[in-house]
Amino acid sequence: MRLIVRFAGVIAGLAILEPAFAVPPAAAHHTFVTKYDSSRKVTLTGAVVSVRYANPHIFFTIRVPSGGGLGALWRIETESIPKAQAKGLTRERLKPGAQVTVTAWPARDGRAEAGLSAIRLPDGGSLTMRGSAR
Amino acid sequence: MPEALPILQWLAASPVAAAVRSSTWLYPVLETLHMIGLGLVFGGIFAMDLRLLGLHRELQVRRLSDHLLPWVWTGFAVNLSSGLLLFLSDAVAFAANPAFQAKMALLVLVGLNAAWFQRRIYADVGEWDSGAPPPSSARAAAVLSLALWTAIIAAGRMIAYWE
Repeated sequence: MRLIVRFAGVIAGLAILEPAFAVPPAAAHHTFVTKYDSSRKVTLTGAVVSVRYANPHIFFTIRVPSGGGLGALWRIETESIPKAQAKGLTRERLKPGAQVTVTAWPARDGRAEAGLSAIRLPDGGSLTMRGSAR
Repeated sequence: MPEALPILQWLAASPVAAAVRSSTWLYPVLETLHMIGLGLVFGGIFAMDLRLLGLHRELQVRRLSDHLLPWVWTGFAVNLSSGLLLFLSDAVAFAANPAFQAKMALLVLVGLNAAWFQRRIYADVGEWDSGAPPPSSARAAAVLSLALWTAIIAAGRMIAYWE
């Protein structure tokens, strides 16, 4: 019993020392819910510019045309390679030049970045990559 | 992001880094090894530090250390290797990540604490090897070690939540 009390003291000491490293309770999986606003979605249509088909998360950029000019470049984040492949978002289907429509949760900090919920591909395929941002 | 060091860009562009990034399963395998290594490191250090705090004084400190430390070093080698490979896959971003930087700084501190313990405190272990209360310096080193390793684990986990 004495040992348990002392052990509890050690743990309590650690808790006092480490408040700066407390994990936000909402952060259930990686950066998705901390980075992206789970309360709203944006729909973007454009051409894929570049693809980083890599672990732990795949990123790609799309150019969304606006009235004149080059349009806005959006950076889209999605799943790991194994998950993406299981859902059908293969390297062959996600290529630069592909015209896609994505539904995604926009970045909380207002940057042109978003976490992918669903994507429509040039071959007509529609994939739901993630049902919620959590 | 400020201009990244050319060496980091070169590392991230290397074939090894590309293999870690692009292979379907290599990254999760490395993450798994990193967890196993962490278990060995933190498990051994946790058991050792509790003894240094004065728990289970019937256990001889030297025998416990001889039993645990080779596994701690094995785990450290596993994590140095797996961690280096994971780092390479996205070297520029990892190097700029505040949580990663904090983790590396904390690793230096925990190394200094361990070296100080080995040279200054463990040298006299014969006087308190079993039965006797460990000196306050040993307890202080143990508390520091537990606090730093907890912070290292937390900082490592926070890398995924911070850019």
